[in-house]
Order: sequence, then structure tokens, then C-alpha cells
Amino acid sequence: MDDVLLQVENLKTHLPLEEGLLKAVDGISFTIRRGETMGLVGESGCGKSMAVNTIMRLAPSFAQVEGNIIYFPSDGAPIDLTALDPYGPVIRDIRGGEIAMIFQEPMTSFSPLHTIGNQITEAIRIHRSDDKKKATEIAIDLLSRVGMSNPAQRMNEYPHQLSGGMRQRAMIAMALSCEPSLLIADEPTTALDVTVQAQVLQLMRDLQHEFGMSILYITHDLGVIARMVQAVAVMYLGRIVEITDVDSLFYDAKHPYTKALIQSVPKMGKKSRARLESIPGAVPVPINRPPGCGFYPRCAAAIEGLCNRLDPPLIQIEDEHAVACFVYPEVVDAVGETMPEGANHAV
Amino acid sequence: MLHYFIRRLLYMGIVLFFVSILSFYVINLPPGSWIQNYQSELEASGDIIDEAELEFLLQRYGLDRPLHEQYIRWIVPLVTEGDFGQSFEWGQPVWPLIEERLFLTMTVSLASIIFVYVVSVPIALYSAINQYSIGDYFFSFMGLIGLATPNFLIALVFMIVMLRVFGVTPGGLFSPEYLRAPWSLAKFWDMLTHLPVPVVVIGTAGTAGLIRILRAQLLDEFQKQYVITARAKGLRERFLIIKYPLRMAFNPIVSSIGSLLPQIVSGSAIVSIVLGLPTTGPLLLRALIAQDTYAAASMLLMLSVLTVVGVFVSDLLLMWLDPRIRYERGN
Repeated sequence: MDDVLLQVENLKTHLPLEEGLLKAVDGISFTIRRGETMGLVGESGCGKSMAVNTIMRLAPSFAQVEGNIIYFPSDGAPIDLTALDPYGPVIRDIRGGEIAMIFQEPMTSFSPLHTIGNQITEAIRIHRSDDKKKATEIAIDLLSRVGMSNPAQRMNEYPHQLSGGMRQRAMIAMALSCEPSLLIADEPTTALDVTVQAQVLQLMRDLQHEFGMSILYITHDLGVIARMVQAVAVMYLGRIVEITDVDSLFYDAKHPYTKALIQSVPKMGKKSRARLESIPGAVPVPINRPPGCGFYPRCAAAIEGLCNRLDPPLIQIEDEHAVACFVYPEVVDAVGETMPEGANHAV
Repeated sequence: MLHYFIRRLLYMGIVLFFVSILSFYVINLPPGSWIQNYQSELEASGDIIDEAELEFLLQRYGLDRPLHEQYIRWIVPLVTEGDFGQSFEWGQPVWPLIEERLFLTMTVSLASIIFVYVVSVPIALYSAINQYSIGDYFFSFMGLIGLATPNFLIALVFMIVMLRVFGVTPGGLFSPEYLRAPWSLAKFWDMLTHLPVPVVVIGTAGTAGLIRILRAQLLDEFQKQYVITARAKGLRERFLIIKYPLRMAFNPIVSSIGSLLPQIVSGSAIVSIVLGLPTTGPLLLRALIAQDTYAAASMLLMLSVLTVVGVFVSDLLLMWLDPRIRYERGN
């Protein structure tokens, strides 16, 4: 296991709100290996962004964080990020330097009042070289590597002078400027149009080969998952409901939610007048949630008396394939129950 | 950019032209005139009015002419020779009468604006960073009191406290020995030592208001994505707050400097009367009551000039601060 880069164990991010306790992230565990790309998939509001913000210790200060986030630096002892002061020097060194992040909104992720160059060199000067000239050189080199024309000139331009795609390229350059071991990409292409999206994805893959970093890719877009990642964790209502490699996700999905998610992707060549598949209902707000599986109210395969009573744990049922659903006897066994008579396995 | 400057200067000229017409017209709106007031005053005190003298005054000030002619007789020498005309009330040229007062008004106003910014920016920063802390509540409470209390009342309270506790009579901008003295370093220093009281009194409401605005602005900016981006880069919290959200929060505030100026000038008139400040406020009030057309119109025009220039300066500041505005105006 010496190739593990980040190990998240039973991570919980609970937000005490006036309406009640919002369990945005409710006990998730996963592991990212060096050089690997992992996808975190789920609908809006499932807690995927909150999960990565917690890893970066950027969750709101009133959030209650539990569990462990163990980071294994290439040299030195493992660090538990949850134990750090979120404003302290240790996490500041890791942020941007070891773990960098690309955000969804290239429009708002840059300060409109400072030049692109200023905002990129700032990160370099914290983590790599305090020399202004050298930092500028590194930044210009990066801008040209992410495919910006006239990188030296771009350095003195402001975000409003760049297009959305260019801004996201600048954002990627900024995130990569300190050669992080882990790049967290929080829906980096969602705000871009499709052609630009393809370019940015290709760019990230090329740069990953070049830098040898790991990527944690957060998206709700399964097409992007198919192109980008090796391992996938599917999140629903603050929990991981299935975790597997990308091939079995598309060809051998186990969880009813994952199946529904894959079915809802429009396919080419299908009858053009056919209705688009969708999952009935909406993601419930995870405030004061009732006992039982979070997907129970929307699930076609739900087992009365079991799914609405107990929370299915995430259990490995095949090699490298874990699922949290009582449809599988292994999961039922894990909670010490027996499958009710007449329950329908063949989902 | 040059194109923009020229256009702005042109607009300023047009605005001032209309201001001069409007103020001249409004001053002459009330029935009667200064001559009639003068006449009835003399009659009341039992003096005999010399018809010849009345006629002379009418002729001299052109009061027997229609209004637009009076306006032209005022504005043309003003623009061509810098002659502001005669004050009826004081029987002397307007400019020497208002010159020093205009300067003092500007001094008090600028000092007040600086006071407002110096006090409110750190407090707003503290309140925003420590939202809902005891300190935040304390400053909010004080701020609301400052906002709700009329300035002249604060002035009165100040005077009473100064008199009862310290045994000094505050008021005025100069010690008696410098009142009529020509300008010197000593007189200037004397003015500076008298400045704090009026500045605090005039600036209190503005400070309270600005703290509220800036605090809300900062809290808004703290939520913005670019702040999280900066944090994700590993920047120090203190550094990033000053570099990004504070800088952003300053935009609407800088753009309000221009409108703060007339507010302070007109709002300080009552305070000036209470505190006995030799600014334009009391003089303007007296000139308006006496229908001293040229004096009043000249003062209003000069205050408008200062305001228009103030707005222009705040626009330039904004362009310097915000590249987006610079970009827009540059094209």
C-alpha cells in the first residue's frame, strides 16, 4: 500500500444550521493512489463539493468535521489533515503546494482586479520560489504549456479580457504551478461549452502524464468520467453508495442509483422521439434525515422492512467493487439481518 | 483616455451652467427682493427712506431689470473676469467675503472624509472578520446610535461636555487672537488644534453609515469564489483578506466619495451654526434669508464646482482601482 497518496476514512462534514443538522458528508471512505485518477460522481447537492472542500480544509468554519484524511507526502510522515488548524501554516503549505484545486466557475474564480500573472505568481512565490523574476518565468512557461497564445502578454491581462476557456486554462496553470501531487478538479468543465470542454479534458490528461500527479475529479457528467478516470465513487446524499473501476461502473453497475444514473444518460442512435430517462423524485435535503437508505424513496428495488429501517453499509462484494445496497445478500449479512421472504434479488 | 477626460470636462461645464441658472432662479423665487426687505426694515425702525438712495441701489445692482438680464449681469463678469458681483447685505464684493470660508469648508469637509475612512475601515474589517462577536455587536450598537443621532445634537452634547468637564468653550475654528489675524503657520496650527471637534461631530454619522455598508460588503465578498481560490493557493488569511475582498469592497465606497462631499457640505451647515464655524454654511443661510442673490448664487455655484470636481476625482480613483472600469472607459 505504499503507493497510496490520500486515504479518506469515515469522513463526516456536518453543518449545524437553524433548520437542523445538515449531514453534507456522512461517513465516506476512499483511497487515491499515486498517479491515479479517481472520479467522484453524483447529482447536485449530494455532498461531493463539500467532501473535497473538507479535504482542502476549506469547509465553512462552523462545520463539524470528523474522521481522518491521511495525506502521504513523497517524503516525510503521513499527515492527518483533519487534525490541522484550517488556517495554520501546515495546511497552508499543503494547499496549493501538495494538493491544488481547480474550481467550477472560471468566471468568478479569479479576482477581477488583479492580473492573471499576479494571481498565478502569487502561488508560485508561496510554495516554490520567492524570486519574482523566476516566478514570472515559471508562470509564463505554464501558460504556454496549457495552450495560451502570447503567454507573456496574458500575464498582464485581467480575467475579463479572457474567454471562459482561456480562464479555465489559466486556472489549470495556476493549480499546476507548484507541481502538486494531487489535483482536485471540482467540475472544471461544467461551465464551458462542449468543444472547449473536450480541449480542457485533453489538456488535463496530457499534463497528468507530464507531471505524474493524481487527480480527484468531481463531476455529475458520466461522459467525462468515462474519458478521464480509472476508479469511480458514486455519492448519494452525503454517502458513497458504490465504488468501483470505470469499466464495471458502465457495464456492471450494482447500486440501483448508479444504474438509474447511467440509464439517464442520453444515447446516440436511440429513437429521437423517445423520452429521456430520469430518476423519479429529487435528492432529499439531508437535514434530519429519517433512518434507512437515502435512496429508498426513489428506489425501484427497495425492500420494505429493510431499506426503510436500516442504513446499508458499503460492502465489497466483488474484487475492487463495493456497494451499499441491501439487494445484495452480502450487505444484508453485514448488518446481521436476514433477507426478508420474497425479496426481489434480480435487479 | 484623453478623449474621456475631455468629454468629462465638457459635461462638467454643462452641469455647472445649469446649476448656475437653477440656483439663480430658485433664489429669486420667493416674493419680494432684498431692496424691499431693506425698505421695510428701515420703515419699521422709523427711518426716512431716501427715494434717491433706493433708486441708486436699484440701478447699481440692476434689480429693476428682468431676471434673465440680472443673471447675465452676474454670470458674464464671473466667467470672463472672475468677478462674483456685489453682496447687497454686506455692501462689498462677494469673492473676498467667501474666499476664506470656502477654503475652511473644504478643509473641514476633507478632514471629515479622512476621519470617516480612517475610523470606519478598520472597524468594518474587524466586524466582518469577527461577525456576531461581542466586538461586532458593540460596534454595530454604537454605529446605530451614531447613525440615528442628528449631528447638531452631538455638537451640543460635545459643547456641554467640553464646558462642564474641561472648562473650555469649544466652537469656532480659531482662538480669539487669531480670528482676524492674517494667515500664518501659527494660525494654521491653531486651526488644526480646533479641527478635531467639528470633524468628529460632522463625521460621526458618515462613519456609522460607512461601517454598516463596508461590513455588509465585506461579508458578501468573503463568500465569493475568488476568496476560496486564494485560500486554496495557501495564502495567509490576513494577507488574502486585504488583497482581495477589502480591495473589492472599496469600489462602491470610492465611487461614493463624490456624493459624500455635498452631503457633508450641506449637512454641516447646522453644525457650523451650532459650533460657530466660519464655513460657508452659516453665511449661505444668511444670504438666502436676506435674498442676497449674488452672494447666495456665487456660494452655491462654488460648492457645485467643488462637488463636480470631487465626483470627477472619485471617478478617476475608481478607474485606477478597477481595471474593468478602466477598460470600459478606455474604449
